[in-house]
Amino acid sequence: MNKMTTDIILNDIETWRICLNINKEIFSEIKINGKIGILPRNSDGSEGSTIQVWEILEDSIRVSLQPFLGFRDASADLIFLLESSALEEIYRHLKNELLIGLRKQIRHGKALLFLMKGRDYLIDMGYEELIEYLGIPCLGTCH
Amino acid sequence: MITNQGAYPDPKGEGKAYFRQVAIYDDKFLPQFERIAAMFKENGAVAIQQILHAGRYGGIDLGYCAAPSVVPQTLPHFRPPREMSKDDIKQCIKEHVEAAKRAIKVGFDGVEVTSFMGYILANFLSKFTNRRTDEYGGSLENRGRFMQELLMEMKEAIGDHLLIVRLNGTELMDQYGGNTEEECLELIKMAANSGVDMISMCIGWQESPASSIGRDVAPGHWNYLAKQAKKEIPNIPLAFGVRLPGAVMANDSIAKGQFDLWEVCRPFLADPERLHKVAEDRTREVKPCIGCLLCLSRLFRDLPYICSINPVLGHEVEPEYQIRPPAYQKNVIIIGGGPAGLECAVTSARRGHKVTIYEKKESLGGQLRVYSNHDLANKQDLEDLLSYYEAMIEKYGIEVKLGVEMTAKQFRKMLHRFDVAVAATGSGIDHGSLPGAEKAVTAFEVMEDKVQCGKRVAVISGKKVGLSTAEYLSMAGHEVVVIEQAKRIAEDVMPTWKWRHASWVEEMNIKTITGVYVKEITDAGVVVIKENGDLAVEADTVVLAERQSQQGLFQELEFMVDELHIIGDAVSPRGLYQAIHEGYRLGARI
Ligand SMILES: Cc1cc2nc3c(=O)[nH]c(=O)nc-3n(C[C@H](O)[C@H](O)[C@H](O)COP(=O)(O)O)c2cc1C
Repeated sequence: MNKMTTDIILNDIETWRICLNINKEIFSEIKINGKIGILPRNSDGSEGSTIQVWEILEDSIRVSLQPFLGFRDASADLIFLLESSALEEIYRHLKNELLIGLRKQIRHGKALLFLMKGRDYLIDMGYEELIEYLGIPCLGTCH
Repeated sequence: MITNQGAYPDPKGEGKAYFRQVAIYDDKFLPQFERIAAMFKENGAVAIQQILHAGRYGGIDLGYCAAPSVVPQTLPHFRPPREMSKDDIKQCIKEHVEAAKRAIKVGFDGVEVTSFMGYILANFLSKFTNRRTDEYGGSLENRGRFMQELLMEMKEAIGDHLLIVRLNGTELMDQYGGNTEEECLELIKMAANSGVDMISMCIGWQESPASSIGRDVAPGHWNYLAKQAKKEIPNIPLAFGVRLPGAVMANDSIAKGQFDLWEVCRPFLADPERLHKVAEDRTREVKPCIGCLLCLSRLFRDLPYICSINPVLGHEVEPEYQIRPPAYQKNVIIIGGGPAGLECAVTSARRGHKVTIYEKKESLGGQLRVYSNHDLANKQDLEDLLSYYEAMIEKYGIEVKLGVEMTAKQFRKMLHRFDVAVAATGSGIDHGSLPGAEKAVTAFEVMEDKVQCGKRVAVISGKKVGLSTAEYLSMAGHEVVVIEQAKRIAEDVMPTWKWRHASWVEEMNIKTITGVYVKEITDAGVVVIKENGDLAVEADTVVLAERQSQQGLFQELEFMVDELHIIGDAVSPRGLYQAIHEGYRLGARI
């Protein structure tokens, strides 16, 4: 998939918004103002320049596009960094298999989940269930 | 050569990797280090102190960690990174040098620096975590600059004393954009040219998605990397040993020129006497490290590390854990020859009691033997543990009665023969009151190959026994679905092993249905209750895998024997480590 398709997928915020809101119970444990980002990874390994942010509101999820100026300035609590093939795959099954898709892509090494805040904050914000679901142990690992 | 556990070198604690890690940033800590160095040397060892600044995995008491660049964490356990300035780098070198001088001052023969595993120097070496644009980032040479400067300054400071550096043979971080094996090799060469006296090679980062030291890695698997490195650095001793638990294999590898020194960690936690036993030709008496990673699971829970196989680890100075002769010899009957019973039998026999084991099956080992038959990770580990127990039974003259199921009636015939009875009867799988349960088979029957399953199998329970059974069946070509009441599978699995089951389940296409109640078993399969109504799960065979404790015999034996105890899964179904620990603790005090 080329850059063009990545942009098209990322910019299609209406589809993302509809699908995320259909599945909003996935995010039901996350507190209001929680933010999750989707960031494409370029073929040279660098990060894309636009991040899609899902913001948890009282009874819905807002989807927006923001410039990505580096991890230091990112406002999201979690960021999924996705290779273009992973982004395409997830987009294709957005309606029914968003989380399963993300977990699969993480396991296959096509997606990375970056935790932008400390553990206690993430747990307080209600991310524990989601993080564990994605197969990432909240209390660390070494194998 | 004994290398003492890594001490962090900075007063801020940016280098501190875990709760209770030793520190060496001040002279006030030196008396303890002095005692350790003296102890090593009095026993004929070369004494090395490791200095461990954990970098990306450090700052454990702080709200941040020190790193070359702000590359966020991928595991929640660790702290968000803060970029180090060039002054911070200089300061870090200074702290390492001071720490090294302290260690030498109190009698260590040398120091080891940690440039692996995702610790500070490794963070600079890595393409993934180092995004700097100054002279400490970019090319391999630039990424290695911090390590080289640090090693050279340390060597200058400690003169003829030994300087060792620990590096990765592979990071297993390729998919994150980390260094390749080739780059790791280049960095090993770079370190070799920085004044070090020895290189120790290790595998993986803490964040690595793949296994490096777990039970699913075959012993000796990583030796090829040592072999490659040895070729490149023929003149510098290379220490290696990751997941290489056996002395025989290690000796063989050294003889083949793969590395120069066998480096061992967990096998010594499992059996600190292993070298003496091997030297005295008592290899069968060595307690094996099964690579289960309970030690590291505990570290990540901010708990002192312990060992499944060696219940004494961390309690060596406590009298309750020591093997001491009893006031008088007792006749002990152990009912059940699984891990809890075996450990209790061996421990009480070592103290001088006369012990008899009654086991209803034709062989010892209980569920450990059953599961070792179909272990997907490395069955040899579990078999080694069983053969250790067999050797100890022989050594201590423990009487074993196989194929005898002890009942209260039978025990009554033996009244007065025993002073102590221990119920180590393990767990069972009860058909219970579930409608249709009589149509199902149990996980134990499946794992013992006592029953044949149809093509489609539903396993009720996504805990470790259910998962192991499902994985075994899937490998044997069945279509398997796991049904679990909890929200997630593998709830009772050790933290460092949960991911392993989760990925096997995914790789084998085992379907999981979680967060549901089983309503009934029918001729067509299983009916479960979901939030939005009943769901029929079709299956040709239904396997029950939820375990229950078995306390019936224990209760019946009351008033039949002076001392009566119950241990292991018979108390509550758990796992190997709890069984062995309870067996030991009881054996040490009967
Ligand atoms: C509980 C525990 C603590 C460890 N602490 C250190 C340490 O301080 N420094 C270090 O370089 N490696 C440390 N390691 C890693 C070991 O040195 C070794 O590389 C790893 O356990 C694999 O080798 P093994 O199969 O012989 O255990 C530790 C390992 C364990 C299990």
